[in-house]
Amino acid sequence: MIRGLLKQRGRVLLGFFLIAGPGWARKPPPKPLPIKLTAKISNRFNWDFKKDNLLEDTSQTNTEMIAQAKYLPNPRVQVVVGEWMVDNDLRPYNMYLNLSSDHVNFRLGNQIVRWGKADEISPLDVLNPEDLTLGFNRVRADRKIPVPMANLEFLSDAISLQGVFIPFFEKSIFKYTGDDWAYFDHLEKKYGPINIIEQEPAQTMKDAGYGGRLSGALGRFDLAFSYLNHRRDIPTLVGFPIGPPVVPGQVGGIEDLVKFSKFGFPPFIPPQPIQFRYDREERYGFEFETTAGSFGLRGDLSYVSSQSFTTQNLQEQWKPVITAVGGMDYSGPAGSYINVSVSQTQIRDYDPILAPTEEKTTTLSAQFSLELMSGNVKLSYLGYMNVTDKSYYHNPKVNIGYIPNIGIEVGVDIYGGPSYSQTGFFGNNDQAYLALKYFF
Amino acid sequence: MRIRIGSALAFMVLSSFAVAADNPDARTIAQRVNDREDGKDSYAKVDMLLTDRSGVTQSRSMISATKDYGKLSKSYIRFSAPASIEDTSFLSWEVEGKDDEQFLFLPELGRDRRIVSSQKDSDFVNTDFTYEDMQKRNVDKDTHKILREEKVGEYDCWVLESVPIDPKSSQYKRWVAWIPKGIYLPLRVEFYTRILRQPTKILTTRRLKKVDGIWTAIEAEMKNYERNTMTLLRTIEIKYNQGLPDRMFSRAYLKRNR
Repeated sequence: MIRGLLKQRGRVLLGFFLIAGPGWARKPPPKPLPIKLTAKISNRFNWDFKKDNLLEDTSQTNTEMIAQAKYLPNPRVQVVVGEWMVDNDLRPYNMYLNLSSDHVNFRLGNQIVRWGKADEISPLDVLNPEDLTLGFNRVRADRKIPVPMANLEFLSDAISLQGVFIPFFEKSIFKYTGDDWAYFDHLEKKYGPINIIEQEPAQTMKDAGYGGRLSGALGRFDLAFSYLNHRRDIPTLVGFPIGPPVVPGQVGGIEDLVKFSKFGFPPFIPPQPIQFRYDREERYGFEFETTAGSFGLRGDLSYVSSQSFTTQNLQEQWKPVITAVGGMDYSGPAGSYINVSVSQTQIRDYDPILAPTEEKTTTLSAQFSLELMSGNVKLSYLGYMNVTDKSYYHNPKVNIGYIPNIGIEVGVDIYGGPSYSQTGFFGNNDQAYLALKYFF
Repeated sequence: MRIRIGSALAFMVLSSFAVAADNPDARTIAQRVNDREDGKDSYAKVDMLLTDRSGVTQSRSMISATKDYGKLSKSYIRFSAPASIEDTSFLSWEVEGKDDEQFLFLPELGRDRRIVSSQKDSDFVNTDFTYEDMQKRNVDKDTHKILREEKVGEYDCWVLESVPIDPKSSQYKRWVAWIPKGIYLPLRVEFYTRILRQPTKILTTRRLKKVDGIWTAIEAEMKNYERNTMTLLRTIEIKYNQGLPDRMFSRAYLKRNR
């Protein structure tokens, strides 16, 4: 499209030179501007499998648009300006200046940086917050929100060193109440309004995040070590000053939390608001990637020295946490692809009073796809299963790509699990969808 | 994935299936095709037109660069259109006698990834070329026989038949190539996957041109008779021996400026 516009502009200029005479015509024709425009517009039509309450709309349309302009005056300089509109909410997208030389790359501005080698479940891929307003309906890459960052890389054939500085804290986008995809919505419908207070960090340099990553290859092994000091973009529950007594053998859940905050523990403890805050954490990471025979192998390991957990009587305990992820993929004939990974999170120095959080949590994730009709039709599946609490998300879908610049996707999102689990919150939100995407 | 796009575009060159000038024997002809001059490096802009069995066409554009470092050969491909695969890039490092090292950059993920050398009979990005078609093949892995001499257009050709010594080493039972004398770039190759008289696929060089003193296939098509599909490749621009920088074939370059 932009080429067409430039051609048209060229014709107008040519006409002008001919009219203006040979003096003008001797000047060289203008060079086309090194600008590239891209855009992605998607409409997703969702139909809920069931109606939760009288006020709920069982069908919904979500519109998303990303428009981006790239200015590339020479191979070493790049300026990118992009906007992201999600259901009439306009946000900045990629907006950065990139300068590069043979061994240095510097990017300053709104950007996405992804660490870790694992796929959908990666404990090291936490530099950018995510848009969780539609649960997990979009893949992780599409949920990432670009944030202001300075990103400096020193690159050589043997090793690369990267340093990032994130001056201002930005949290992930989600809702507590008032929406099917809100975390407390089902409980608010059951118990009435819930008093939630969020302690937001001040937007000062004290909340800056920073980190570094050293990566290199050892034979056919790609290895990387990283360190990140930042505020988690997902909130944690602030411990209650006085919580309810622990009932031996009873496992607490979010519903108990809501009930306690609304009704207290009569006659001794009055109702109290639920408070959330965004904790600072230090995260150490190790990642690897290699190939073995017909398989690709990769994994992430993260260590957080101190993370807040809620006990059964709604107090807080801080514990170190280790998360390990191992994944394997295989590309087969006829465009088939299989990718499976296993993740285990372990709370060190575990205390049984932390229930419902288990000492070890195991999650499986899987992705399969098969291309048909010269790649114009793709059958695929993406899903997760938390083996520990039996929660799950399944997303089988069909992609049709016959029409240039238009993508059609038909699929279903199926959520389930206990109500205190992440996907269990959305257990009533199973839906079928049709997504239409136009891009250029 | 095996992305060997050596000597401009190896699938246009298919250097292992070929011939020459004097009165050489079949193996010599095949060796001469393999050793054919294709420059120390190359940079090409290529358009691809895919036609499926129902006649629906799809076009793609890409740039391809290759560089030889003696026994090591590196190649780089970046798709520039359509928008659905734009900026998807591949990097391949091929060392003689060893497994290739290959990397893929997927812009939608914002990550580069080490990938497995694909099964040789897999299609290359949904084209009618398999990864085997794009690789150089050691001449001594096959027996070669001159079937006859024949004229194709203005070119006098040898018709050379090659059969793998170890049947497991190739997806093909045999292939027959029309090699113009003195040029060593196949004008036509028939690929047989079964013991049948009909080929499964036919590669036809539609247009041949000398660029910077090197014979280059400017337009070539691969027709798959089993699936009734076709892939047409058109070289829009090609340059040899430009002294391409080494950084172009590095992993840092793979994800840079995306």
